[in-house]
Amino acid sequence: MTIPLQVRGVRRAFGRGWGRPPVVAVAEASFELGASEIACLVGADGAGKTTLLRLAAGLERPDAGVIRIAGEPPHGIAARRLIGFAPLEAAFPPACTVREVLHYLASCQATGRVRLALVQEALDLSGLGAASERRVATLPLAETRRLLLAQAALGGRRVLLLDEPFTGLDAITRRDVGDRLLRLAGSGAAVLVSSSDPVGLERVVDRVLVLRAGRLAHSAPAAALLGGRVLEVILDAPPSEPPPGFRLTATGLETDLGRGTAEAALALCRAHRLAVRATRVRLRTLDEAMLEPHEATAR
Amino acid sequence: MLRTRLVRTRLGVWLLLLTGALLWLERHAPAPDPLGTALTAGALGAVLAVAYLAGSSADRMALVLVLGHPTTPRAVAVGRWLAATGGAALVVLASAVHSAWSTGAVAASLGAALAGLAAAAAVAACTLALVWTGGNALAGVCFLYLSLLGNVPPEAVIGHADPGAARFTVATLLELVPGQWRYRGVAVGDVGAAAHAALWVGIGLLVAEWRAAQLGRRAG
Repeated sequence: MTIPLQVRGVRRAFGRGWGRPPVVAVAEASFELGASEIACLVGADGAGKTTLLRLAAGLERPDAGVIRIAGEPPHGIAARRLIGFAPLEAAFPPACTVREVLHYLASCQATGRVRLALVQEALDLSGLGAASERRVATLPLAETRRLLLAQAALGGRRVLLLDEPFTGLDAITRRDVGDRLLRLAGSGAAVLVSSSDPVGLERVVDRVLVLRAGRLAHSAPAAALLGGRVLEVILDAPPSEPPPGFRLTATGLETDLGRGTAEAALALCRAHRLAVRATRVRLRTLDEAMLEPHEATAR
Repeated sequence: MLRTRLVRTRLGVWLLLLTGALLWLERHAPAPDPLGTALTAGALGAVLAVAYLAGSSADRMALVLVLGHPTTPRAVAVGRWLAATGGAALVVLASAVHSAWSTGAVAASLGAALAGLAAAAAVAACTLALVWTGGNALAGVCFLYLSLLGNVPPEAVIGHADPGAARFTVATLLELVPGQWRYRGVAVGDVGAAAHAALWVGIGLLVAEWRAAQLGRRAG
Protein backbone atom coordinates (compact mmCIF):
# COMPACT_ATOMS: atom_id res chain seq x y z
CA MET A 1 0.00 0.00 0.00
CA THR A 2 1.42 3.42 -0.94
CA ILE A 3 2.29 5.88 1.79
CA PRO A 4 -0.14 8.84 1.72
CA LEU A 5 2.51 11.53 2.27
CA GLN A 6 6.24 11.23 1.74
CA VAL A 7 8.63 14.16 2.17
CA ARG A 8 12.29 13.45 1.44
CA GLY A 9 15.12 16.00 1.76
CA VAL A 10 12.89 18.95 0.87
CA ARG A 11 14.41 22.40 0.77
CA ARG A 12 12.78 25.70 -0.14
CA ALA A 13 14.33 29.15 -0.03
CA PHE A 14 12.86 32.51 -0.96
CA GLY A 15 14.82 35.29 -2.62
CA ARG A 16 14.90 38.66 -0.88
CA GLY A 17 15.94 40.77 -3.81
CA TRP A 18 19.09 41.72 -5.61
CA GLY A 19 22.32 41.12 -3.69
CA ARG A 20 20.67 39.72 -0.59
CA PRO A 21 21.00 36.06 0.36
CA PRO A 22 17.80 34.00 0.14
CA VAL A 23 15.90 33.04 3.27
CA VAL A 24 15.73 29.29 3.80
CA ALA A 25 12.13 28.56 4.79
CA VAL A 26 12.46 24.77 4.85
CA ALA A 27 15.75 22.87 4.95
CA GLU A 28 16.24 19.15 4.46
CA ALA A 29 12.83 18.14 5.77
CA SER A 30 12.11 14.42 5.66
CA PHE A 31 9.18 12.54 7.12
CA GLU A 32 6.33 10.23 6.21
CA LEU A 33 2.72 10.21 7.20
CA GLY A 34 0.71 7.02 7.18
CA ALA A 35 -3.00 6.43 6.69
CA SER A 36 -5.16 7.22 9.73
CA GLU A 37 -2.26 9.13 11.28
CA ILE A 38 -2.53 12.68 12.65
CA ALA A 39 0.73 14.60 12.79
CA CYS A 40 1.17 18.01 14.32
CA LEU A 41 3.73 20.35 12.86
CA VAL A 42 4.68 22.64 15.71
CA GLY A 43 6.99 25.61 15.69
CA ALA A 44 7.12 29.33 16.29
CA ASP A 45 5.83 31.82 13.73
CA GLY A 46 8.21 31.85 10.77
CA ALA A 47 9.56 28.37 11.50
CA GLY A 48 8.49 27.16 8.05
CA LYS A 49 5.26 25.33 8.86
CA THR A 50 3.09 27.05 6.25
CA THR A 51 5.76 26.69 3.57
CA LEU A 52 6.07 22.97 4.29
CA LEU A 53 2.29 22.54 4.07
CA ARG A 54 2.13 24.51 0.82
CA LEU A 55 4.93 22.38 -0.59
CA ALA A 56 3.04 19.23 0.35
CA ALA A 57 -0.14 20.71 -1.17
CA GLY A 58 1.65 21.36 -4.46
CA LEU A 59 1.22 25.14 -4.20
CA GLU A 60 5.00 25.61 -4.05
CA ARG A 61 7.74 23.65 -5.78
CA PRO A 62 10.70 22.56 -3.65
CA ASP A 63 14.20 23.72 -4.63
CA ALA A 64 15.44 20.24 -3.75
CA GLY A 65 13.99 17.00 -2.50
CA VAL A 66 10.92 14.99 -3.32
CA ILE A 67 7.32 15.08 -2.15
CA ARG A 68 4.88 12.33 -3.04
CA ILE A 69 1.17 12.02 -2.36
CA ALA A 70 0.35 8.32 -2.60
CA GLY A 71 3.28 8.04 -4.99
CA GLU A 72 2.20 11.00 -7.15
CA PRO A 73 3.80 14.46 -7.39
CA PRO A 74 1.61 16.87 -5.39
CA HIS A 75 0.99 19.41 -8.18
CA GLY A 76 -0.52 16.80 -10.52
CA ILE A 77 -4.26 16.45 -10.96
CA ALA A 78 -4.15 12.86 -9.62
CA ALA A 79 -2.65 14.05 -6.33
CA ARG A 80 -5.05 16.98 -6.19
CA ARG A 81 -7.92 14.53 -5.92
CA LEU A 82 -6.28 13.15 -2.78
CA ILE A 83 -5.13 16.38 -1.10
CA GLY A 84 -7.36 18.56 1.01
CA PHE A 85 -5.69 21.85 1.88
CA ALA A 86 -7.00 24.44 4.33
CA PRO A 87 -4.95 27.66 4.39
CA LEU A 88 -4.74 29.89 7.41
CA GLU A 89 -6.55 32.80 5.78
CA ALA A 90 -10.13 32.27 4.74
CA ALA A 91 -10.93 33.59 1.28
CA PHE A 92 -14.46 32.75 0.26
CA PRO A 93 -16.72 34.73 -2.07
CA PRO A 94 -18.56 36.84 0.54
CA ALA A 95 -21.96 36.83 -1.20
CA CYS A 96 -22.26 33.04 -1.13
CA THR A 97 -23.71 30.89 1.62
CA VAL A 98 -21.76 28.04 3.20
CA ARG A 99 -23.70 25.50 1.16
CA GLU A 100 -23.15 27.40 -2.09
CA VAL A 101 -19.39 27.60 -1.49
CA LEU A 102 -19.22 23.86 -0.90
CA HIS A 103 -21.52 23.23 -3.83
CA TYR A 104 -19.24 25.25 -6.12
CA LEU A 105 -16.09 23.50 -4.89
CA ALA A 106 -17.77 20.09 -5.10
CA SER A 107 -18.49 20.77 -8.77
CA CYS A 108 -14.76 20.21 -9.35
CA GLN A 109 -15.33 16.57 -8.45
CA ALA A 110 -18.85 15.51 -9.20
CA THR A 111 -22.22 16.50 -10.62
CA GLY A 112 -25.86 15.91 -9.80
CA ARG A 113 -26.82 13.87 -6.76
CA VAL A 114 -23.27 12.79 -6.06
CA ARG A 115 -22.30 16.44 -5.70
CA LEU A 116 -25.20 17.11 -3.33
CA ALA A 117 -24.17 14.08 -1.28
CA LEU A 118 -20.57 15.33 -1.09
CA VAL A 119 -21.76 18.73 0.15
CA GLN A 120 -24.00 17.19 2.79
CA GLU A 121 -21.22 14.88 3.93
CA ALA A 122 -18.83 17.83 4.29
CA LEU A 123 -21.45 19.81 6.23
CA ASP A 124 -22.03 16.92 8.61
CA LEU A 125 -18.36 16.21 8.99
CA SER A 126 -17.47 19.76 9.91
CA GLY A 127 -20.52 20.43 12.10
CA LEU A 128 -21.72 23.23 9.82
CA GLY A 129 -25.20 21.85 9.21
CA ALA A 130 -26.93 24.59 11.20
CA ALA A 131 -24.95 27.34 9.48
CA SER A 132 -25.28 25.98 5.95
CA GLU A 133 -27.55 28.81 4.74
CA ARG A 134 -25.51 31.60 6.31
CA ARG A 135 -23.47 33.87 4.07
CA VAL A 136 -19.76 33.36 4.55
CA ALA A 137 -19.24 37.10 5.10
CA THR A 138 -21.27 36.85 8.33
CA LEU A 139 -19.59 33.74 9.73
CA PRO A 140 -17.71 34.01 13.03
CA LEU A 141 -14.13 32.77 13.12
CA ALA A 142 -15.02 29.35 14.54
CA GLU A 143 -17.48 28.66 11.71
CA THR A 144 -15.02 29.94 9.13
CA ARG A 145 -12.44 27.48 10.43
CA ARG A 146 -15.04 24.73 10.16
CA LEU A 147 -15.77 25.76 6.57
CA LEU A 148 -12.07 25.58 5.78
CA LEU A 149 -12.02 22.08 7.23
CA ALA A 150 -15.19 21.14 5.32
CA GLN A 151 -13.81 22.25 1.95
CA ALA A 152 -10.53 20.45 2.64
CA ALA A 153 -12.29 17.21 3.51
CA LEU A 154 -14.78 17.51 0.64
CA GLY A 155 -14.99 14.31 -1.37
CA GLY A 156 -13.11 11.97 0.95
CA ARG A 157 -9.57 13.31 0.58
CA ARG A 158 -6.87 10.96 1.77
CA VAL A 159 -4.29 13.58 2.83
CA LEU A 160 -5.49 16.61 4.79
CA LEU A 161 -3.10 19.53 5.16
CA LEU A 162 -4.51 22.02 7.64
CA ASP A 163 -2.69 25.27 8.38
CA GLU A 164 -3.40 26.44 11.94
CA PRO A 165 -6.94 25.02 12.09
CA PHE A 166 -7.17 25.72 15.84
CA THR A 167 -5.97 29.32 15.81
CA GLY A 168 -8.44 31.68 17.45
CA LEU A 169 -10.82 28.92 18.56
CA ASP A 170 -12.27 28.70 22.06
CA ALA A 171 -11.63 25.59 24.16
CA ILE A 172 -15.00 23.99 23.35
CA THR A 173 -14.59 24.43 19.59
CA ARG A 174 -10.97 23.26 19.75
CA ARG A 175 -12.09 20.05 21.39
CA ASP A 176 -14.92 19.60 18.88
CA VAL A 177 -12.64 20.22 15.88
CA GLY A 178 -10.10 17.84 17.42
CA ASP A 179 -12.77 15.15 17.69
CA ARG A 180 -13.71 15.69 14.05
CA LEU A 181 -10.08 15.30 13.02
CA LEU A 182 -9.96 12.03 14.94
CA ARG A 183 -13.06 10.89 13.04
CA LEU A 184 -11.47 11.85 9.72
CA ALA A 185 -8.29 9.98 10.61
CA GLY A 186 -10.45 7.05 11.71
CA SER A 187 -11.84 6.89 8.19
CA GLY A 188 -8.31 6.45 6.82
CA ALA A 189 -7.18 10.00 6.10
CA ALA A 190 -3.64 11.12 6.88
CA VAL A 191 -3.84 14.48 8.62
CA LEU A 192 -1.01 17.00 8.91
CA VAL A 193 -1.89 19.94 11.15
CA SER A 194 0.33 22.94 11.76
CA SER A 195 0.15 24.91 14.97
CA SER A 196 2.12 27.64 16.64
CA ASP A 197 -0.11 27.33 19.70
CA PRO A 198 -0.64 23.58 20.23
CA VAL A 199 -2.35 23.79 23.63
CA GLY A 200 -4.55 20.76 24.18
CA LEU A 201 -3.69 18.92 20.95
CA GLU A 202 -1.80 16.17 22.79
CA ARG A 203 -4.92 13.96 22.87
CA VAL A 204 -5.37 14.24 19.09
CA VAL A 205 -1.94 13.76 17.54
CA ASP A 206 -0.10 10.53 16.82
CA ARG A 207 3.13 12.13 15.65
CA VAL A 208 4.87 15.39 16.44
CA LEU A 209 7.14 17.25 14.02
CA VAL A 210 9.02 20.13 15.62
CA LEU A 211 10.22 22.79 13.19
CA ARG A 212 12.80 25.33 14.22
CA ALA A 213 14.07 27.94 11.74
CA GLY A 214 13.08 25.75 8.80
CA ARG A 215 14.75 22.62 10.12
CA LEU A 216 12.92 19.59 11.36
CA ALA A 217 14.37 19.57 14.87
CA HIS A 218 12.44 16.52 15.93
CA SER A 219 10.06 13.97 14.48
CA ALA A 220 8.72 11.28 16.75
CA PRO A 221 5.56 9.50 17.78
CA ALA A 222 3.64 11.63 20.25
CA ALA A 223 3.77 8.84 22.84
CA ALA A 224 7.58 8.90 22.78
CA LEU A 225 7.98 12.67 22.64
CA LEU A 226 5.30 13.52 25.16
CA GLY A 227 5.80 10.47 27.36
CA GLY A 228 8.28 12.24 29.62
CA ARG A 229 6.98 13.10 33.07
CA VAL A 230 7.21 16.50 34.68
CA LEU A 231 7.09 17.00 38.46
CA GLU A 232 5.37 20.22 39.52
CA VAL A 233 6.14 21.36 43.05
CA ILE A 234 3.93 23.99 44.69
CA LEU A 235 5.76 25.93 47.37
CA ASP A 236 4.73 28.37 50.10
CA ALA A 237 7.65 30.64 49.23
CA PRO A 238 9.43 30.05 45.93
CA PRO A 239 13.22 30.42 46.21
CA SER A 240 15.11 33.15 44.35
CA GLU A 241 17.32 30.46 42.76
CA PRO A 242 15.91 27.04 41.84
CA PRO A 243 17.75 23.89 42.96
CA PRO A 244 19.85 22.19 40.22
CA GLY A 245 17.66 20.65 37.52
CA PHE A 246 14.54 22.63 38.51
CA ARG A 247 12.81 25.54 36.80
CA LEU A 248 10.94 28.34 38.52
CA THR A 249 7.20 28.55 37.83
CA ALA A 250 4.45 30.92 38.98
CA THR A 251 3.55 28.66 41.90
CA GLY A 252 6.88 27.04 42.69
CA LEU A 253 9.17 24.74 40.77
CA GLU A 254 9.06 22.04 38.13
CA THR A 255 11.52 19.52 36.79
CA ASP A 256 11.63 16.87 34.08
CA LEU A 257 11.77 13.56 35.90
CA GLY A 258 13.46 11.63 33.11
CA ARG A 259 14.60 8.34 34.60
CA GLY A 260 14.55 9.74 38.15
CA THR A 261 11.77 9.43 40.69
CA ALA A 262 9.50 11.99 42.29
CA GLU A 263 10.85 10.97 45.72
CA ALA A 264 14.44 11.77 44.71
CA ALA A 265 13.37 15.16 43.33
CA LEU A 266 11.44 15.99 46.48
CA ALA A 267 14.40 14.94 48.62
CA LEU A 268 16.44 17.52 46.72
CA CYS A 269 13.82 20.16 47.55
CA ARG A 270 13.94 19.23 51.21
CA ALA A 271 17.74 19.36 51.15
CA HIS A 272 17.38 22.97 49.98
CA ARG A 273 14.97 23.65 52.90
CA LEU A 274 11.99 24.34 50.64
CA ALA A 275 8.54 23.94 52.20
CA VAL A 276 6.59 21.79 49.73
CA ARG A 277 2.82 22.40 49.86
CA ALA A 278 1.73 20.03 47.09
CA THR A 279 3.11 18.08 44.13
CA ARG A 280 1.77 16.81 40.83
CA VAL A 281 3.28 14.58 38.17
CA ARG A 282 2.07 15.24 34.62
CA LEU A 283 3.13 14.36 31.06
CA ARG A 284 5.05 16.79 28.87
CA THR A 285 2.93 19.06 26.67
CA LEU A 286 3.28 19.96 23.01
CA ASP A 287 4.19 23.48 24.10
CA GLU A 288 7.19 22.11 25.96
CA ALA A 289 8.14 19.93 23.03
CA MET A 290 8.00 23.01 20.79
CA LEU A 291 10.02 25.16 23.16
CA GLU A 292 12.69 22.57 23.92
CA PRO A 293 13.21 20.47 20.81
CA HIS A 294 16.86 19.76 21.49
CA GLU A 295 16.20 18.71 25.06
CA ALA A 296 13.45 16.41 23.84
CA THR A 297 15.77 14.91 21.27
CA ALA A 298 18.40 14.20 23.88
CA ARG A 299 15.94 12.31 25.97
CA MET B 1 -22.38 31.42 -9.44
CA LEU B 2 -24.00 33.93 -11.81
CA ARG B 3 -27.43 33.50 -10.21
CA THR B 4 -25.99 34.09 -6.72
CA ARG B 5 -24.18 37.24 -7.79
CA LEU B 6 -27.17 38.57 -9.71
CA VAL B 7 -29.40 38.24 -6.68
CA ARG B 8 -27.06 38.95 -3.78
CA THR B 9 -24.66 41.60 -5.10
CA ARG B 10 -25.22 44.86 -6.92
CA LEU B 11 -24.53 43.12 -10.24
CA GLY B 12 -28.24 42.55 -10.84
CA VAL B 13 -29.06 46.18 -10.09
CA TRP B 14 -26.27 47.49 -12.32
CA LEU B 15 -27.29 45.24 -15.22
CA LEU B 16 -30.90 46.39 -14.80
CA LEU B 17 -29.79 50.02 -14.77
CA LEU B 18 -27.62 49.45 -17.84
CA THR B 19 -30.51 47.80 -19.68
CA GLY B 20 -32.88 50.59 -18.72
CA ALA B 21 -30.45 53.32 -19.69
CA LEU B 22 -29.64 51.76 -23.08
CA LEU B 23 -33.29 51.18 -23.94
CA TRP B 24 -34.18 54.73 -22.90
CA LEU B 25 -31.39 56.14 -25.06
CA GLU B 26 -32.48 53.93 -27.95
CA ARG B 27 -36.06 55.12 -27.64
CA HIS B 28 -35.15 58.80 -27.47
CA ALA B 29 -32.33 58.80 -30.03
CA PRO B 30 -32.96 60.84 -33.21
CA ALA B 31 -31.67 57.91 -35.27
CA PRO B 32 -32.27 54.64 -33.39
CA ASP B 33 -29.45 52.06 -33.73
CA PRO B 34 -30.58 48.68 -32.32
CA LEU B 35 -27.32 47.05 -33.41
CA GLY B 36 -25.24 49.67 -31.59
CA THR B 37 -27.43 49.23 -28.51
CA ALA B 38 -26.96 45.45 -28.52
CA LEU B 39 -23.18 45.83 -28.94
CA THR B 40 -22.93 48.33 -26.11
CA ALA B 41 -25.16 46.14 -23.95
CA GLY B 42 -22.85 43.17 -24.53
CA ALA B 43 -19.61 45.08 -23.99
CA LEU B 44 -20.59 47.07 -20.91
CA GLY B 45 -22.59 44.18 -19.44
CA ALA B 46 -19.52 41.95 -19.77
CA VAL B 47 -17.31 44.45 -17.92
CA LEU B 48 -19.84 44.75 -15.08
CA ALA B 49 -20.29 40.98 -14.87
CA VAL B 50 -16.55 40.31 -14.72
CA ALA B 51 -16.09 42.98 -12.06
CA TYR B 52 -18.73 41.37 -9.84
CA LEU B 53 -17.91 37.74 -10.65
CA ALA B 54 -14.15 37.69 -10.55
CA GLY B 55 -12.52 41.05 -9.98
CA SER B 56 -12.88 41.68 -6.25
CA SER B 57 -9.92 40.98 -4.00
CA ALA B 58 -11.97 38.28 -2.20
CA ASP B 59 -12.67 36.54 -5.49
CA ARG B 60 -9.03 36.69 -6.50
CA MET B 61 -7.90 35.38 -3.12
CA ALA B 62 -10.47 32.59 -3.33
CA LEU B 63 -8.53 31.18 -6.29
CA VAL B 64 -6.06 29.71 -3.77
CA LEU B 65 -8.85 27.55 -2.37
CA VAL B 66 -10.46 26.75 -5.69
CA LEU B 67 -7.20 25.60 -7.24
CA GLY B 68 -6.56 23.37 -4.24
CA HIS B 69 -9.38 21.23 -5.60
CA PRO B 70 -9.17 18.88 -8.57
CA THR B 71 -9.51 21.54 -11.24
CA THR B 72 -7.19 23.57 -13.44
CA PRO B 73 -6.59 27.30 -13.92
CA ARG B 74 -7.95 26.91 -17.44
CA ALA B 75 -11.21 25.40 -16.22
CA VAL B 76 -11.60 28.15 -13.62
CA ALA B 77 -10.89 30.89 -16.18
CA VAL B 78 -13.31 29.42 -18.70
CA GLY B 79 -15.98 29.02 -16.00
CA ARG B 80 -15.73 32.67 -14.94
CA TRP B 81 -15.71 33.81 -18.56
CA LEU B 82 -18.83 31.79 -19.33
CA ALA B 83 -20.58 33.19 -16.26
CA ALA B 84 -19.67 36.77 -17.17
CA THR B 85 -20.69 36.30 -20.80
CA GLY B 86 -23.94 34.78 -19.58
CA GLY B 87 -24.62 37.85 -17.42
CA ALA B 88 -23.95 40.18 -20.35
CA ALA B 89 -26.09 38.00 -22.60
CA LEU B 90 -29.11 38.82 -20.44
CA VAL B 91 -28.71 42.52 -21.25
CA VAL B 92 -28.11 41.76 -24.95
CA LEU B 93 -31.21 39.58 -24.99
CA ALA B 94 -33.29 42.32 -23.41
CA SER B 95 -32.12 44.89 -25.95
CA ALA B 96 -32.68 42.49 -28.88
CA VAL B 97 -36.19 41.58 -27.70
CA HIS B 98 -37.00 45.27 -27.28
CA SER B 99 -35.67 45.98 -30.76
CA ALA B 100 -37.69 43.14 -32.33
CA TRP B 101 -40.81 44.23 -30.42
CA SER B 102 -40.57 47.90 -31.38
CA THR B 103 -39.38 47.59 -34.98
CA GLY B 104 -40.73 44.19 -35.98
CA ALA B 105 -37.40 43.42 -37.71
CA VAL B 106 -36.80 40.02 -36.19
CA ALA B 107 -33.91 39.00 -38.47
CA ALA B 108 -32.05 42.26 -37.87
CA SER B 109 -32.62 41.89 -34.13
CA LEU B 110 -31.26 38.36 -34.23
CA GLY B 111 -28.15 39.63 -36.03
CA ALA B 112 -27.78 42.39 -33.45
CA ALA B 113 -28.08 39.84 -30.67
CA LEU B 114 -25.33 37.72 -32.24
CA ALA B 115 -23.07 40.75 -32.59
CA GLY B 116 -23.81 41.73 -29.00
CA LEU B 117 -22.88 38.23 -27.82
CA ALA B 118 -19.62 38.38 -29.78
CA ALA B 119 -18.80 41.72 -28.17
CA ALA B 120 -19.70 40.32 -24.74
CA ALA B 121 -17.51 37.25 -25.21
CA ALA B 122 -14.46 39.21 -26.39
CA VAL B 123 -14.78 41.95 -23.78
CA ALA B 124 -15.43 39.47 -20.96
CA ALA B 125 -12.26 37.52 -21.77
CA CYS B 126 -10.18 40.69 -22.01
CA THR B 127 -11.59 42.17 -18.82
CA LEU B 128 -11.10 38.89 -16.96
CA ALA B 129 -7.42 38.89 -17.88
CA LEU B 130 -7.14 42.53 -16.81
CA VAL B 131 -8.90 42.22 -13.44
CA TRP B 132 -6.87 39.15 -12.51
CA THR B 133 -3.80 41.22 -13.32
CA GLY B 134 -4.62 44.57 -11.80
CA GLY B 135 -7.90 44.27 -9.92
CA ASN B 136 -11.23 45.97 -10.46
CA ALA B 137 -9.63 49.36 -11.13
CA LEU B 138 -8.82 48.03 -14.61
CA ALA B 139 -12.46 47.01 -15.06
CA GLY B 140 -13.28 50.68 -14.47
CA VAL B 141 -10.78 51.67 -17.15
CA CYS B 142 -12.37 49.16 -19.54
CA PHE B 143 -15.83 50.50 -18.80
CA LEU B 144 -14.77 54.09 -19.48
CA TYR B 145 -12.91 53.12 -22.65
CA LEU B 146 -15.85 51.18 -24.05
CA SER B 147 -18.33 53.89 -23.05
CA LEU B 148 -16.35 56.74 -24.60
CA LEU B 149 -14.32 55.20 -27.44
CA GLY B 150 -15.85 51.79 -28.08
CA ASN B 151 -18.06 53.06 -30.88
CA VAL B 152 -15.31 55.11 -32.54
CA PRO B 153 -13.81 53.36 -35.59
CA PRO B 154 -10.13 54.06 -36.37
CA GLU B 155 -11.13 55.74 -39.63
CA ALA B 156 -12.63 58.56 -37.60
CA VAL B 157 -9.17 59.26 -36.17
CA ILE B 158 -6.92 58.42 -39.09
CA GLY B 159 -9.17 60.23 -41.56
CA HIS B 160 -7.81 63.61 -40.53
CA ALA B 161 -5.64 65.41 -43.04
CA ASP B 162 -2.57 65.28 -40.80
CA PRO B 163 -2.93 62.21 -38.61
CA GLY B 164 0.41 62.48 -36.78
CA ALA B 165 2.06 59.82 -34.60
CA ALA B 166 -0.37 60.18 -31.72
CA ARG B 167 -3.44 59.82 -33.92
CA PHE B 168 -1.84 56.89 -35.70
CA THR B 169 -1.17 55.21 -32.35
CA VAL B 170 -4.73 55.79 -31.17
CA ALA B 171 -6.10 54.50 -34.48
CA THR B 172 -3.96 51.37 -34.23
CA LEU B 173 -5.14 50.82 -30.67
CA LEU B 174 -8.77 51.20 -31.71
CA GLU B 175 -8.15 48.79 -34.58
CA LEU B 176 -6.60 46.11 -32.38
CA VAL B 177 -8.48 46.08 -29.10
CA PRO B 178 -12.12 45.03 -28.74
CA GLY B 179 -14.68 47.75 -29.31
CA GLN B 180 -18.32 47.84 -30.25
CA TRP B 181 -17.62 49.21 -33.75
CA ARG B 182 -15.42 46.16 -34.45
CA TYR B 183 -18.24 43.66 -34.07
CA ARG B 184 -20.94 45.41 -36.08
CA GLY B 185 -19.99 43.11 -38.95
CA VAL B 186 -20.93 39.99 -37.00
CA ALA B 187 -24.59 40.95 -37.50
CA VAL B 188 -24.19 40.58 -41.26
CA GLY B 189 -21.93 37.53 -41.23
CA ASP B 190 -18.53 39.25 -41.42
CA VAL B 191 -16.04 36.47 -40.75
CA GLY B 192 -13.22 38.92 -39.98
CA ALA B 193 -15.22 40.53 -37.18
CA ALA B 194 -16.13 37.13 -35.74
CA ALA B 195 -12.49 36.02 -35.97
CA HIS B 196 -11.39 39.19 -34.15
CA ALA B 197 -13.79 38.36 -31.31
CA ALA B 198 -12.65 34.73 -31.23
CA LEU B 199 -8.99 35.80 -31.18
CA TRP B 200 -9.59 38.10 -28.22
CA VAL B 201 -11.49 35.38 -26.41
CA GLY B 202 -8.46 33.11 -26.88
CA ILE B 203 -5.91 35.74 -25.83
CA GLY B 204 -7.98 36.85 -22.86
CA LEU B 205 -8.51 33.31 -21.62
CA LEU B 206 -4.84 32.41 -22.02
CA VAL B 207 -3.75 35.40 -19.95
CA ALA B 208 -6.54 34.80 -17.42
CA GLU B 209 -5.44 31.16 -17.08
CA TRP B 210 -1.84 32.22 -16.50
CA ARG B 211 -2.89 34.80 -13.93
CA ALA B 212 -5.23 32.34 -12.19
CA ALA B 213 -2.33 29.92 -11.81
CA GLN B 214 -0.19 32.69 -10.32
CA LEU B 215 -2.91 33.91 -7.96
CA GLY B 216 -3.59 30.32 -6.91
CA ARG B 217 0.00 29.97 -5.74
CA ARG B 218 -0.16 33.05 -3.53
CA ALA B 219 0.24 32.55 0.20
CA GLY B 220 -3.04 31.40 1.59
